Amino acid sequence: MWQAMAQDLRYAARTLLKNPGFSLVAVLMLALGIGANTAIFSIVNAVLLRPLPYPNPDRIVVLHETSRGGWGSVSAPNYLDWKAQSSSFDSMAVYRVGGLNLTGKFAPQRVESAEVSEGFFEAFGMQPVAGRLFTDQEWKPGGPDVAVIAEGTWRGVFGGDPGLIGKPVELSGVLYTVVGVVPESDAYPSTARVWLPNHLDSPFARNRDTHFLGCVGRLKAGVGVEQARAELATIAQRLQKQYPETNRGRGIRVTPMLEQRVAYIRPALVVLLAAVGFVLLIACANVANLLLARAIGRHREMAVRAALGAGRRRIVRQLLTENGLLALLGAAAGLALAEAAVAGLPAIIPRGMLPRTGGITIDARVLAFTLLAGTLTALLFGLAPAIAAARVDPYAGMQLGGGRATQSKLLARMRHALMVTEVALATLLLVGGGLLIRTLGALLHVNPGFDAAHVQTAEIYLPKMTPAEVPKNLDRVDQITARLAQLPGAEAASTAALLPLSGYNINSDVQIEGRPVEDVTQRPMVEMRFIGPQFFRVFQIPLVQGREFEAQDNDRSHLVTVINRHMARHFWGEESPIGRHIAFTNVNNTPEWMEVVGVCNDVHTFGLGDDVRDEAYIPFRQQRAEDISYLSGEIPVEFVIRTKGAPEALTSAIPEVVKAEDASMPVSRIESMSALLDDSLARQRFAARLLGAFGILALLLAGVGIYAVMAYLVTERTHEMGVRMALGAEPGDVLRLVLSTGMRLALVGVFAGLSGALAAGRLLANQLFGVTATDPATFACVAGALAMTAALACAIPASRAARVAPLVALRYE
Amino acid sequence: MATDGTALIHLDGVTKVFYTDEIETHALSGIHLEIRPGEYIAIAGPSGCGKSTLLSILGLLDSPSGGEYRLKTQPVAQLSLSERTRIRNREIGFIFQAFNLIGDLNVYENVELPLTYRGMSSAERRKRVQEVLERVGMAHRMKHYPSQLSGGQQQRVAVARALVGQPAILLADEPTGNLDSKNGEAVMELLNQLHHEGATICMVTHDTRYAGCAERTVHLFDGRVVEETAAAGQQAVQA
Ligand SMILES: Nc1ncnc2c1ncn2[C@@H]1O[C@H](COP(=O)(O)OP(=O)(O)OP(=O)(O)O)[C@@H](O)[C@H]1O
Ligand SMILES: [Mg+2]
Repeated sequence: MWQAMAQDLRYAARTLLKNPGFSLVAVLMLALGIGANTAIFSIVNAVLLRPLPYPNPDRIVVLHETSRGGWGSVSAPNYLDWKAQSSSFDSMAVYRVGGLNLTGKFAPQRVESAEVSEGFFEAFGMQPVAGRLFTDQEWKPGGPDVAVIAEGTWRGVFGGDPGLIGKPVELSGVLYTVVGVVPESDAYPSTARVWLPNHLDSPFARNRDTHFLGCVGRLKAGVGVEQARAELATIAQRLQKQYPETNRGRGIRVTPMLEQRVAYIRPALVVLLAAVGFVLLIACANVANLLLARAIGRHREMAVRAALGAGRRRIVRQLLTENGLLALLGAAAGLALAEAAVAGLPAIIPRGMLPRTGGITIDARVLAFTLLAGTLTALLFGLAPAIAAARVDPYAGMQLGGGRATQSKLLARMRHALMVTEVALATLLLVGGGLLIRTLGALLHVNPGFDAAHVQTAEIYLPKMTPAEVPKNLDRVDQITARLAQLPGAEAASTAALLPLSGYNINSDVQIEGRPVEDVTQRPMVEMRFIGPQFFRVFQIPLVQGREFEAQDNDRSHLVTVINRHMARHFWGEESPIGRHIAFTNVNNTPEWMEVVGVCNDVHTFGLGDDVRDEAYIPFRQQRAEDISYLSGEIPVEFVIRTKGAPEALTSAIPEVVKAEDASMPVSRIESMSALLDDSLARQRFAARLLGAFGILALLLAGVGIYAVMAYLVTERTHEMGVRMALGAEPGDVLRLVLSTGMRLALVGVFAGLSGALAAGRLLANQLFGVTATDPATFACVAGALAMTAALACAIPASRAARVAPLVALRYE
Repeated sequence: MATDGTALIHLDGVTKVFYTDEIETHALSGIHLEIRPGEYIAIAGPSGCGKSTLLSILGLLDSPSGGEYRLKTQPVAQLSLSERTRIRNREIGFIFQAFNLIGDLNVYENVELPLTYRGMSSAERRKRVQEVLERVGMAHRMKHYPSQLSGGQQQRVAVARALVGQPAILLADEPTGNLDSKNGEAVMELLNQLHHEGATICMVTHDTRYAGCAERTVHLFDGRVVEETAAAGQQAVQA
């Protein structure tokens, strides 16, 4: 048995070596297909499949409040009620993300932080690698200022000094005692490096209608997500009755944490995986075609073997061994390609695009996938030749008549079916790539509503401060802004709490002057953008009516706002909103009325492909001191500078200006607005590039496949071409015959591919913008590209056929 | 041998030399041959003596290395490639040893093939194909594919295909070579009948029985004509 296998293997190796060209091409195609699949799967594995790095990770869930069909952050009083009334959880905790300026005997740097409530570490099952976590005493309001830090920060900034435990570090001007260190890989949120106890004792934490907390929980062993959902649904209903003012229509959403983190990216990854799977299928079809072509040549050999007594099973086993060896070689070479690709992936995956890029490696699961892909591949490309071989008739090889003809007809039909399939798959892929490229193009043509060129941005976070300290700090911000405006090359400078396209937003329910006051849960929501004077000038956002903000619009003057056109039309239609009033509710539930002094053009704040929403711009210096004090670590201050030349020219000058004003203030990011605009399209660009690349690879492979089939067809039918020439066919007639045979097959494939694309379009629909999934132009271009490729691929064999000498007709086959 | 203008085919000192791997093969050396309209001649000789080569030159499938070939008094040496193709299509009907029917085409389409290269209306083509298939007794198999026919039937279809263009001459290379004696005789019978109806036929064969059907037999040996035997009933004398 083993001996027979070894013999098969030896023979298989010899056969492959005998046709080095064939073997090389086959292995190369398989390697491309398997390698690309392995690389993409390594992403899928790292992002979608690998469990979270905590004990019993499936018991960790994320909780959100739901309202008006959406879901979002949680208010502290609601959380406390959930925790007190539910029994499904081992632990439940809330957290608030922010940033702190870490200062000491090193350049100040910003670290992401999380203020977490009791039970947070238990929810994840985090354990310290040095020191301890917080004690009961430390969780209590009024407890000491303590911090847990991440291992990377401990090692990177403090050299892993074990003596740091119990010592204070300065974070945004406050001394915190470091009590413990947790592994960086456990960090949650993943960017956090410092954890502080959250006592939930601020006025914001007492307001049931201020939703700003993240919430996580660990289910009790044996409690399923559904069970927890049901329990929380009951609690939510109870709270709705108890607090109708704030909780009407509010529900609770429970999602497994892994699902919560990866759900948004799953469709894109599935499309990528499908695309790269198609590439492998096309490679398989090509290899199968090569094998089928060879099968004709080996037909007699097989027949002779059969005649000499080799059983059908033995012959099939021989073929399978050969295919297995080919697939194995392809998988090995593919793995090497994938290694290289995985090493290069971090460079081409735009930052922030994937929820967890850290672990993209070739691990056991990826290896298993590669092996599976290799095996499936061998079965796939080996199938058609094996069927052909199993039909070998021991006597057919000896005969010259009908048996041979039907055999070669069967093989030809298989080859043609494979060719049609691969053209169809390539069409499908190209349509997908084409649609994504058109989407990117459409997005690039969207006018964002502001002029991104010549704008430099720099981000700082204000230190922790009491409301009383706010004016002093805002004066500093104004000082820095004024100095930035004076920099050589600067035209104007301003400030903003959040930049357009940053991905973050602040919104609130609004009351409109002269309209009945609706219940909080029914009020319209409006986006709030806090900006300094000159903001509209820096971004060149045209004012349609009224005026911009001025330095006098501060905490001592009456409250004003500039609204966008969308909002003006929404609430006042054709009437002018200038002089009318709107109010947001503050943390004490009292409306703060502000006068509309201007209307500006709409800006695509949320993304070039997203709809414009109602927006109200509010002077930076008219924000409530309590809000600023509370949000200082969470919401950055962005300096925006309009430059005469390239924005990058100011890059080195900006930190100098900030340092001169406050040496302990790190600048956490400097980037031109056009770079940020580019970043906002990173996902679409990545998808378009990758799918486009797969499409082109598929097109090339299909071209090679068509060429191989047609070249074989011409070789096989040389005699027939000769006969036709002898009977009076001109070279042109024969050329047309071959071309039309090839093109007919290719067009059947294109047609099948386009029909498939029509059907599969909805898979991609939610990733498209400015183009429908059935875009006729894309379909036409793809059909054209494939027709041209097919024509090129057919041209060489066709011209060879046209040069066949009629004399071959006289030759005996 | 008559050398008047009535000859359909006139070969004068035709030679054919093949060069392969620097070896010269003199397949034909100084062939003189004339074929008159309505004549039925056979070319005989041992294997490798140049019979097929001669036929390929007669059929304009290949060109001679030297000498002159006139077809209907016209020298063919100066003809362009497409003129040669046109003449092959209109003046010459081929019958091959291996039938050479095209497997993907049915009987009707195979016979129609030479006509499709002439730009003839499909109604006219249909009429001619039907006529010629009736003549060879294969009209009832029009929709069949070659693989569904016996060897003898395939050769009858091949004869129909050679006839359909109403050529000036039929060239046949071992038309019975792939047939058993019964089918072989049937095909010879068909050729005889065509000859009586006025067709000009030039047939290569090494079977002396069949050579006897022809009015005249040209014996080739080593690329040369070594003997001509004439008239029905007379036996060829081997050189
Ligand atoms: N294309 C070619 N290249 C080189 N030599 C050739 C070529 N065609 C024929 N010959 C040679 O010319 C000679 C005559 O060949 P030809 O095929 O005419 O013989 P034949 O009389 O038809 O033989 P048979 O009875 O076996 O069919 C042979 O020696 C052959 O090897
Ligand atoms: Mg011959």
